[in-house]
Amino acid sequence: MTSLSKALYTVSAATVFAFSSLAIAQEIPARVGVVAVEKLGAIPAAKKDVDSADIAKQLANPIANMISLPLQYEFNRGLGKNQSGSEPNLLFQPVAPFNLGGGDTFILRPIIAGVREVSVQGSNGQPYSGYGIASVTIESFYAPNTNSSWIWGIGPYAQSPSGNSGHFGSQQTGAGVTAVVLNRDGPWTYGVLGFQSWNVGGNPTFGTQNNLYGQPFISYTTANGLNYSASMEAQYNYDAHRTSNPLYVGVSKVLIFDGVPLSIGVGPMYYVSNTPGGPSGWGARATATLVILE
Amino acid sequence: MKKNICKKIMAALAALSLGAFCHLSKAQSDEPIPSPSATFTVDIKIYAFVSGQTANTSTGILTYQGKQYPFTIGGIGLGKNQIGASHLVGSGVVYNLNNLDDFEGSYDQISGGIMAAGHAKLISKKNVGIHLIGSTNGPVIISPGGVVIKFSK
Repeated sequence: MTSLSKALYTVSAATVFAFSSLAIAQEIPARVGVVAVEKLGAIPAAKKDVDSADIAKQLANPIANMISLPLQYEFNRGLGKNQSGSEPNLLFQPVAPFNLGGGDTFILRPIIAGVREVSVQGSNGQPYSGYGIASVTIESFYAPNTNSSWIWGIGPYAQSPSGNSGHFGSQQTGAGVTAVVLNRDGPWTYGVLGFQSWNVGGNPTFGTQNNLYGQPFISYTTANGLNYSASMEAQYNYDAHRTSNPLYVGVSKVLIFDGVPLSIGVGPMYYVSNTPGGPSGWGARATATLVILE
Repeated sequence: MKKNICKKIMAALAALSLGAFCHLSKAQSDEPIPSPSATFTVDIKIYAFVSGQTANTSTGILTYQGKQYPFTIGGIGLGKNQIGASHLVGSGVVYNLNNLDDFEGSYDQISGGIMAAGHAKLISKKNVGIHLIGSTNGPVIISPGGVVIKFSK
């Protein structure tokens, strides 16, 4: 075979193969929409190339984009010397995160507790009914970017005295340190939040601020958005040598009202142990958490 | 003699197939870019709570044949194990939308990425194509199952 023949054979084979490939490709039903979006070039893309630094920046700290405003109503009973008093209270505990850059966050969480006491028998034997602001607590966390599902934070803690009457808690000022660690594992979220507080001054008559607090928690979110949670909120007072320990189980769901998400939750609680005169037995809790996107 | 016939056949076959190849190539490159059928704007807010719950609020406006139709988009999240919120504001064009009702449905991402490239190209099972261009202040991930568009009631 001459070199011309070889060339012709090669060209024939190549072009027949190419023709066959195109023919097969033509047999696949053309998706007009796909062709359209793949071919479009009239609209300039916002960014032509993948900017990994920009992606990392966006991924770094979505926490800082969200402020949550939880409002918690809690009903406690079994208070007072004769354990016949009740205590509805309202906790406003907004969570305000601040972006520190690089994915690190500083989270500020003030807690303002408004309390109403109903027929709570004091140490003098007289029942008391009234309402007031129990205390203002400030929890704060420095939360570094962990690049994992585990998140932890640590920071200073402070609690104000709770007024002059002594009916709503300690009249001491507390200061200490608080920390949290949690993990998001698929539908599960679990972790523990705690603080250590020391008395830094004030009247010890109505209790002290020398406390150790631990709150293990776990929650499970279903595919349809229901969230089941359980937690224990144990607070040990070093001076009373007693622990107040309510267990809580609840269910919550996120609802959208006029484009604004609101998490609604409710559940019972039970004090497995209590401080003298403090709440005991069964109680209940309801929460409403409003979220603001910055 | 036999060799000459063979050569002629091969040459004819080569010429024929080359011509067909060139014709098809030209046809492919000359395929016109379809003009947009509609335009749209979207504003999507995505939330992921510490508890693991998520929420997505979206408002979109489709402009089709001079009329506006509000719609919602589902199937967009922050990504696995993210906590926080993102806000996506975008606009884009729709291709091959011959019937308004075809706009509703499930769309798969075929290229791009809002976070990676600032735009995403999506295609529905009804061959309606979407090119979304937008910006976000946080992570925005289109779920593996694609996004779902529904007209608002």
